[in-house]
Amino acid sequence: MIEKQHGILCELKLEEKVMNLCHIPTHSIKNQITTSQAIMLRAIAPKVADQIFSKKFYNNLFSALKDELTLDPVQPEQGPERIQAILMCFAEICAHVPTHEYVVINEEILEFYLKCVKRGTQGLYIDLIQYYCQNTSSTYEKNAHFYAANVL
Amino acid sequence: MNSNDKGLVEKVVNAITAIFSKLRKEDQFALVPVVREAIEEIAVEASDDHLGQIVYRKKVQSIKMLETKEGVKTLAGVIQNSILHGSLKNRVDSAFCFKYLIDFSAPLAIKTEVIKICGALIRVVTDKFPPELKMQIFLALRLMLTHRCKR
Repeated sequence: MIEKQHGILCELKLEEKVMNLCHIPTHSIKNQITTSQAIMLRAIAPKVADQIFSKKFYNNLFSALKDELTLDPVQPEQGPERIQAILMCFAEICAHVPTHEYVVINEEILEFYLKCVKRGTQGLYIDLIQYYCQNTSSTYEKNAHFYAANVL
Repeated sequence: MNSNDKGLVEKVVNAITAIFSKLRKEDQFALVPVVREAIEEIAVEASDDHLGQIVYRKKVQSIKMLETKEGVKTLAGVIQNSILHGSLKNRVDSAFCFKYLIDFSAPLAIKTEVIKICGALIRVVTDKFPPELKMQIFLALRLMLTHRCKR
């Protein structure tokens, strides 16, 4: 976000503030992301997605979400609503990753699938693929058969 | 696609619809062999080595995804395009898929697609194609007559 101040363009860096508020830089499995934090983080996801593979600070968010979704073994007290909110935030980031970084995000999606199979949570992968395919601007036809085979 | 969890089956249908939705027709054809393989893995086993893929034994009575109208509609649309406009290999895979679709779907789910499926099969079988394709189309039409036209 950009604001004009004294004739100079200043970046508000709201996304960084939100991430700090949600304790993303110090995220750990003991200090889990809550449902409301996940909803807030989803709002900044499209902006953050541009830089998740180029800036360590933003990559923290991606890693935190991935860790929460692929925590093995599955914690019974995780709460389906919270997991769904985190998944949607993760999917929002994946869908908004720039086209030139498609190869990297595709590898991440594949890794996510393998972890989901290991944990028996294929539903998360299916939801991710649905959202990703509906919203991405990347051309995924080369890998569509992998997505379809994994979903089926 | 054959999970006992209804919610998961619904998710699969939505995801497959989403995957197909942004692909060009030609790219959709490439997914027909994937659908065929997935169905064969779940529901079909060879009954005789000599007969190969022509005659198969059903591992399951029906596939959960094909018990829903949306599930049948999503797959039938792509398979129909593929059998009409795809390469020979794609057309053969499509004929197999139609055969499985007819055999493993619920009557109510396939009801609205029957005319489209039969139309595509009859349209292709009247063109000049090798026997491997025509045989699968005739088998699909036979299944339609024996399974789906019962009163």
